[in-house]
Amino acid sequence: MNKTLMTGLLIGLIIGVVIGIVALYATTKPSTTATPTTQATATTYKPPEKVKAAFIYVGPIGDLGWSHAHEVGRQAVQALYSDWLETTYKEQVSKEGAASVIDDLVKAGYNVIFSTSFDHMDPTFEKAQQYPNVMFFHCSGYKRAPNMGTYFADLYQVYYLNGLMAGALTKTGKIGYVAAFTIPEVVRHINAYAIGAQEMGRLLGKNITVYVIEIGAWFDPDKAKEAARTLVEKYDVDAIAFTEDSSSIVEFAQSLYTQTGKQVYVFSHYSPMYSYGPDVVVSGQLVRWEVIYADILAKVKSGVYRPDNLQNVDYWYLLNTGAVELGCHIYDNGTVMMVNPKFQPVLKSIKVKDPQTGAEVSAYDYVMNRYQQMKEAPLLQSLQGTSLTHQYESLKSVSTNLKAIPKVPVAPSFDPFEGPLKGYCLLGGKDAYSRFCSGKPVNSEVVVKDGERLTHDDLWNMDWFVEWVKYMGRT
Amino acid sequence: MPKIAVVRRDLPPTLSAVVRLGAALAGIGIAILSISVILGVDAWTVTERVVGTFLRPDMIRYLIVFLPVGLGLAVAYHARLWNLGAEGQIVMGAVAAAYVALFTPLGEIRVVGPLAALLAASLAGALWALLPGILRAYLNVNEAITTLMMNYVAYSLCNYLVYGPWRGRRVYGYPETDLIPDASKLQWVHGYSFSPWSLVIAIAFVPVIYLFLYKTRIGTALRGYGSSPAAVELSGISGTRLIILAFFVSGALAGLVGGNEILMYHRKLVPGEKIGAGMGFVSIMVAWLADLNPALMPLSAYYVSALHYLRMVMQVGELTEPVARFFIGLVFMLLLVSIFVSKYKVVIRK
Repeated sequence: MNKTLMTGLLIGLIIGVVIGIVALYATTKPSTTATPTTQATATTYKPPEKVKAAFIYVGPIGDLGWSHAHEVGRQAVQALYSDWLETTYKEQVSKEGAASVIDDLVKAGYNVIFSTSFDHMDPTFEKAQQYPNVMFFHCSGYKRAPNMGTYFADLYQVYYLNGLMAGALTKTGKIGYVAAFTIPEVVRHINAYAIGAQEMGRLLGKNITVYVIEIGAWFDPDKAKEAARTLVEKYDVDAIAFTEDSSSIVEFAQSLYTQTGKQVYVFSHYSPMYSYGPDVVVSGQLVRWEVIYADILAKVKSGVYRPDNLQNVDYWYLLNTGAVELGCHIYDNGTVMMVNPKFQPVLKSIKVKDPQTGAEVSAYDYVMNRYQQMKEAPLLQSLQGTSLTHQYESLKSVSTNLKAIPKVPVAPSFDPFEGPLKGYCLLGGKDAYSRFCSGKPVNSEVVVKDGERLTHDDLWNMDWFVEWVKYMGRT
Repeated sequence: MPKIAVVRRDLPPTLSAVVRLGAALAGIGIAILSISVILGVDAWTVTERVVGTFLRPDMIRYLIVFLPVGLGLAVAYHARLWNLGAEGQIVMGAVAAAYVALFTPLGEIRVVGPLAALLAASLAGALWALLPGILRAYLNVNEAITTLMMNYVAYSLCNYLVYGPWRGRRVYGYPETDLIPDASKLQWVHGYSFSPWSLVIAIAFVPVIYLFLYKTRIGTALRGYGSSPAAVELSGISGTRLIILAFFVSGALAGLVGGNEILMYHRKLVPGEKIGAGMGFVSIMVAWLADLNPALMPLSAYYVSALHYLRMVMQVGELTEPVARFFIGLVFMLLLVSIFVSKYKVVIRK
C-alpha cells in the first residue's frame, strides 16, 4: 500500500477516535447528572406495568447442575406470572464478560437482573451504581446496594440428613467428600454432613472419619472422578457426598458397582441424579430457586421492592421454606424421591435407640424425624428475607405473658450446628473470619458449648472443620 | 487424468484487503442465511442483532484488549518469530499491575498510580516474553513451544498468588485478592464497560507501531529478518538483538493489556484463566486477519471484538448460546477460506 494512502488512513483513524470520544462524553454527560432524580421518583414510585427480568448464568444450562437449577426457576416463574412477566437469560457468561452483558440487558429494557455466580458479584455491584433505576439481585455474594439485593438457598441441613444415612450405611466407618473449594459455604456443608454421619455412627457404635479432597473447580468431571477414586481406593471410603456440578462421581460409583460389585453409596448433588446411578445413589440435595424468584418478582410487581430499598434484602432460605429439599429424583408428576427405594428396606432394617425418647426406631424413621424437625419452623421464613433479621434465626423460642401459650418457637427444634461440638481452625490470624478462629493460629481448637446454637454469622463465616474431618489436600 | 495443483499467488495489497473485507461481510451474510435455513430462525431477527452489535460501542471493551495485543504480535510475526504466549504475557501484566495497585503506596495516588501500574504491567509482560526470546536468540530453542508453555506457567503463578499469599480478606475464601484502591481504578464511560483513556492508549499504538515497522531502520530490518536473516546480519544489524527486541515489544503490549484488565475491569487479581480468558489466543487471529499490517489492525480488532461480544449477547429466544458459537465459528471458517483464496489459486491441468 502506498505512503499517502497509509498516512491518510492513520489521520482518519485518529480523527475518528477524537470524534468518537467527544461524542461519547456528550451523550453520557446528561445521564450522569440525571441520577439525583431517582430521589424524587422514590416518593412517587410506580411499580412496573410489565416486569422484564433477565437471568445471567455462569455455565451452560445443560441437563444438570447450578445453572440448570436456576433455569428451572426461571421457567417456573415465567409460566406462573406470564400475565405480566417477561424473562430472558444469557448462559456461559464468564467473569470478564459479565459487565458487558449487563449493559446489553439494560439497553434492551430489562428492569430486574439476576446474576447467579460469585464471579458476577463485582461487575453486578459496579453496574448497579451505574444504573440506579434497574433492580439487581445477586445470588451467593454479600455486596448489596439500594438497588441490589442478595439471595441464597442453603443446603447444610440436607447434607446433615445425607450424613445420617451415610453413617447408617457405611461398613468401613470411612466416608468421603469431594469439595469444589473450601469456601465457608462448602465447609459448612462438609461439617453438617460429618455431624450427621457421626451422630448416626455413634448410635450404631461406629467410629466415623470424613476424608475431604478439594478439586479447585465447580465443574470438572475428570478431577471429581479421580478424587472419588482416590477416596475409595486409598482411604477405604464407601460413602461419598460432593460439591461438583456434574454427575461424574455418581457415574463412577455406578460403574464400580456394575463392573466389580463394590458398593459405594453416593448422594446426588443439586440436580436429580438418581437415573445416572440407580444402584448407588441413596439420596441427595435438591434446590428450588423458583421459591425465591417467585417471591422477589411478586414483590417487584407490587412495588414492595423498589430500586431504592434493596439494601437489606438478603434471602437465606433453608429446608423450612422448601427452597431446598432432600432427594435424588423428581418423578414426572413433580413429586420427589427422597430416598432411593433400593435402600429404603436397608435403612428400615437398621435399628437405633433415639436418645431423646429412648424408643427404638429404624434409621429411616430417625432421618425422617430429623427432617420433620427442621422442616417445621413457622416463624422462621419471615426472618430469612432480610439482613436485619438474620440475627434472630437461631433463637429457639420467644416468650409471651400468656398462660395458654407461654412460648412461641422460632428456629427449628433441631439444628445440626448445636453444641457440644469440637473442631479445629482452617485459617488463622487475620485470614480467619469467624469469631472462633480470627486472631488465633491455624489448627487452634474450636469449642461450641453444650446447647449453644450457631448463629447466621457463624454459619456464613465458617472457617473450621469438626474434629473427625480430615482434609487430604487440593488436587 | 487432470492434475490439480495449488499455486501461490500474490494479489496486490489493496485488492487483497478488498477481498478480505468482502469475505468478512459476506461471511456474516452467509452465516445469517445458514442459521435461518438450518434452524428456522427468522433471518431478520439475526441480522438485527448482528448489525446492532457491530454498530454499538459496547465492543470497545474487547477492542481495547485485541488491538494492542494484535499489534504487538504483528511485530514478532513480521520477523517470523512465533510468539504464541500473549495469553501468559497478559496474565503477568495483570499480576504486576495488581501488585503496584494493592501493595505499593503508588496505588493510592490518582493518575500516577494507574500509570505506574500500567508501566509495571508492560515491563512484566516484556520480561515474561523475553525468557523464550533469549532461549531462541542464543540457544535456538523453538519459541512456539516455549511461549505456549509459558502461558500455563503464568496461569499457575497467578493462581498460586490468589490461592495463597495474596488472597483477600473480604472474599470469603474465594481465590482472588481484595479490590484495588479507588485511585487506581480506570472509570467506565456511563452505560459501557470501558475507560476512554484505555481506548486512547490502545489507538495511540497504531501509528507508533506502524512508524516503527515501516519508518525506522530497526523496523525495516525486523521485517526483513523473517525472509532473509542472513541479509539482515550482513547489513550490520545483530539478529540476536532483533529477536530480543521483537519479543520485548510484543510482550510489553500484551502485558499492558493485562494491567489494563485489572485497572479497568476486574479491579482485583483473579485466577489466570479468568484474566486471559483465551483472549491472548484470539489476538493471534486478529494479527493475521490484518495481514500483520498495523494500519489495518483497528479494522480487524473491531471485527473480532464485535463477534466476541456478539457471542454473549446474541442469545435471544431460539438463538441459544450454542447457536451463537456455531454462527461465529462459521464466520471465521469462511474468513479462512477467503484468506486461502487471496493467497493461492487452484489450477487444473488436463
